[in-house]
Amino acid sequence: MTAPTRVHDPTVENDEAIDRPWNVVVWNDPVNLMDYVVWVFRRLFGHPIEEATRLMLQVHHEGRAIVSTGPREQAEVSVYRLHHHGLWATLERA
Amino acid sequence: MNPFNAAEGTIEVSLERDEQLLLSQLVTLLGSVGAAPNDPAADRLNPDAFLDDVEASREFRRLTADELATARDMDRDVFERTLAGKHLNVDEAEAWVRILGDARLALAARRGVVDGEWEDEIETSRDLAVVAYLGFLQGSLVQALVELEAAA
Repeated sequence: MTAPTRVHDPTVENDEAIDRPWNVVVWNDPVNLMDYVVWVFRRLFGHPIEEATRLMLQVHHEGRAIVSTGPREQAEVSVYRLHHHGLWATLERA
Repeated sequence: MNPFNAAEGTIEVSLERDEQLLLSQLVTLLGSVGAAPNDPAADRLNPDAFLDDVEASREFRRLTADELATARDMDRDVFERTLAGKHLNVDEAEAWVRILGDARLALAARRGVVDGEWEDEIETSRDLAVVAYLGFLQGSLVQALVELEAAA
């Protein structure tokens, strides 16, 4: 047995690939109701109704919108929860 | 009259017997998703998590598929158990909202819906008429949830 070796010191090394956040993207689909999508954005991300509505309209008109940004693990949880609510969501590097 | 109404901390349900009968069929419908190979409904309800990274999407699915299936089973159990009732609490209503949405997506995917023109076929397709009807129910239930939250 040996003592653990420190292999990565974040104060010395700045690994951009690890630190860079991830975007949660929601894509337009022709079936989900506008009111339902607004409700999901409020429910999952705590957005105020104005912001949730703005994002829903962006999805509707532009085909996609970034609904949240954060560390990969957090973004993966958001995508999972969006899939549970029937929304077409993906992850991409911010 | 609205099928769902927020009232005194709960959601009142006003559904006819034939409506309950139709809704009970959604349990079977959703239970069949992915049972046969190449089911468009399964693809729609379990989309790739990464647009252009097949390996990462496969890994994401490997890590989340069981949990997602369990969450959907729980939603279906709640839905089935409360289907004949007159009241829904918030947790039950949220399970209903997801079941109604999943059923709409599954039916539409199997009908090959890719754009908004499906709404022109409501008169001629029973499945698409059901998609529209379930949308009416889901919209009413979302509205009731919003009103319930506003009153809290």
